[in-house]
Amino acid sequence: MVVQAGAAVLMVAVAALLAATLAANLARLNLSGGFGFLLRPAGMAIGESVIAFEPSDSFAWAILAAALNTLRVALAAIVLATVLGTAVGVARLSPNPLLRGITSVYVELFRNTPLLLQILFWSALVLKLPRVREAVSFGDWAFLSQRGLQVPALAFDANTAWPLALAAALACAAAVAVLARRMRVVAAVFLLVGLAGLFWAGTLGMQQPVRRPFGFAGGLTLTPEFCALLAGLVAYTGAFIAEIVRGGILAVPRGQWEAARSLGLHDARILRMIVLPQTLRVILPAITSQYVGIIKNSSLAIAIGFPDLFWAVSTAINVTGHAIEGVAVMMAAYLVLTLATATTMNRWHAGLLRRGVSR
Amino acid sequence: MKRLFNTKANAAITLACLAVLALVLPGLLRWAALDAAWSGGAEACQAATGACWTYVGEKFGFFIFGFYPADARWRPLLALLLLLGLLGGSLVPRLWTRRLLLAWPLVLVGVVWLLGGGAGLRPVSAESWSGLPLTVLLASFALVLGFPLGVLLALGRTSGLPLFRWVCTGFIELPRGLPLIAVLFMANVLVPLLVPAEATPTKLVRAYFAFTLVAAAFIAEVVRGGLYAVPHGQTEAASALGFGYWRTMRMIVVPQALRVSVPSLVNIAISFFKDTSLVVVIGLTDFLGAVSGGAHDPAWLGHDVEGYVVAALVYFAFCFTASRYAAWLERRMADTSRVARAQRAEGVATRLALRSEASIA
Repeated sequence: MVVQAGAAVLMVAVAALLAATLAANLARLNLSGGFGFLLRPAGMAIGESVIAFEPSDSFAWAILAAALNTLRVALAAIVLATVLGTAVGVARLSPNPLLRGITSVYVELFRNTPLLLQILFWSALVLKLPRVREAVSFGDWAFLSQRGLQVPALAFDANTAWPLALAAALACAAAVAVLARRMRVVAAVFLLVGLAGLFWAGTLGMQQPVRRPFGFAGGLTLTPEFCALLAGLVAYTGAFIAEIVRGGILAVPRGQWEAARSLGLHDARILRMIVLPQTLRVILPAITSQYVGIIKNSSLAIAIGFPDLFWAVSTAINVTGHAIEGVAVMMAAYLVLTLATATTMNRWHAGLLRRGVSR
Repeated sequence: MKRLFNTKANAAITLACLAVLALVLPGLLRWAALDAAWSGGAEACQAATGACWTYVGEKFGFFIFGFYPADARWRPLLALLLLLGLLGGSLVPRLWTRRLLLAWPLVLVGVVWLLGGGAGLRPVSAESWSGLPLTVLLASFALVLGFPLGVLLALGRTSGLPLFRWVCTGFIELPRGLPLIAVLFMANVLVPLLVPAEATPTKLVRAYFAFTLVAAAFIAEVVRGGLYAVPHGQTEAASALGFGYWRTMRMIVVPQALRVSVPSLVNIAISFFKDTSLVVVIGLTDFLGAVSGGAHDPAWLGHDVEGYVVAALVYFAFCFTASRYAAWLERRMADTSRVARAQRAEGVATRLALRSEASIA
């Protein structure tokens, strides 16, 4: 008790000293406190954003737009890195030495070089791609050029046969409801029927990009910065996830494989239905920290000029000088993102452990 | 051959792999060797369709030493060799003694003297410390300073006193939940506000401050895993012998915990070596900074990819060696009986070790 009381007094004293110095420094630099600056016009331009943004909009709106960019790239990276990592992790255990060799080279190369270097490399590489006129075309559905990747977009049109659209949307909703009760086949049928209905009614359509002399019309543009950042995050984190998946598969006792083989299952089915579900329980904590890592690492966007959360807040601090408040906003925003991800994943993991089986 | 084509599926995989290799390798070979420019000036490079290795040769000194005065390059070179020698020595388990623990601070002081000058050497301002020596110095300084702090944080977080537990948990979880760049940036803008104006530390010191905090947080989590792996009987036996808390920790628990955590600590060191590259964000020029800065030379524009490839090879050489070493160490330790005991507490320890596998940035 005495020790704790002493420590508490010491900490309060240090905090008071820091606060006094801070107050003196702020007075000397003629800076005022408060979060009022967030509502002032930002006066900066954001390269790309999912919500409309004008330079006359406030700093708060700029930070929100940038935070959505962070979320966008992080979500895409999480999905792609998981797919890539799982595939590579399984491939590294393949009996085929050629496949094992290629995937091992990938994992070691990308795990052992800095992410920043990889992002700079991808960014330099994107600039070496052909110009728009000579863009690499993927069957006229997607185009790769210096301006980034042009992909088809889902287009939504509300002015079509709405009763049919409504029915189709209901079928989709039913699919989700059925999925919640774990009737996966029924859910898939509902979902397929629903989506087909939406497409047929014309409410939902695929918008194909069209090449024009000075750019593209239609479709979705993934800017060069977005592509470079995404490629970096996916390739880097994918290598780590591959190692985690490989370790997880090796952790499943051999008896599981042998028992399943004696039941007459073939390897792909054993992997999918018996080994991977058990692996999931072992590796989920490690995967969670990779996901949190992706969110944190997306801040490297600043090196290649992708407007993300870190960029927006640090720009706001540089422009207004409100370092303390800006840093508080940045800490709060990142902690909310990382803690929310960690909590959600940990809950899922706890659920898996409680149920004993993972489906 | 049998393992490549024994079943239909396997043959398909083999063919697919060969197709990928056929698609990638010839182009890569042409770019890196056949069509590359190996000599001549910038004009020869313009003419070549492949890589421009002349650029790398021309700029290699800058990549390694950055803005350090060219006539005094032997000093950072000597510093680099000293640091690498010490790092190499620290990898040998036979040398893990108190003397090594003393050697680290001594060598770091020597390195700072070599780089900074004074006492007989021409002073060189810290602004121009750059390149590979800065990278190695940043990583090793942060780890050496962060290590004792991390052990203390781990002890605090596992202690029975709630005040220490809360404070230490905060100091561990906060840097872990934030991007490393954000911590660097915060240290850069906040530290000058929190210290008296006349004592404002240089940018380099602020970077050390941030790296040390983050290193301590990550080391603390690994060490905490190690602490859980030490059986309870050890503490009980110590207190039966009349040992106090600090004596028990210093002489019984911490040494065993550290032994278990060494492989994870090496992994943290690898992450830090890679992540020191983030200092470019606050305007320091480390190895990666020098490589990407070299590409801005108007005489050699457009050869940034070559620079990055060389930088990747250098980083790879360091990190791959270190990760092989960590794996070797882990296997070696799995043999000793002490760890067999520790593995009973594996549940907690593995979970925490897995957390530390995450990238630090």
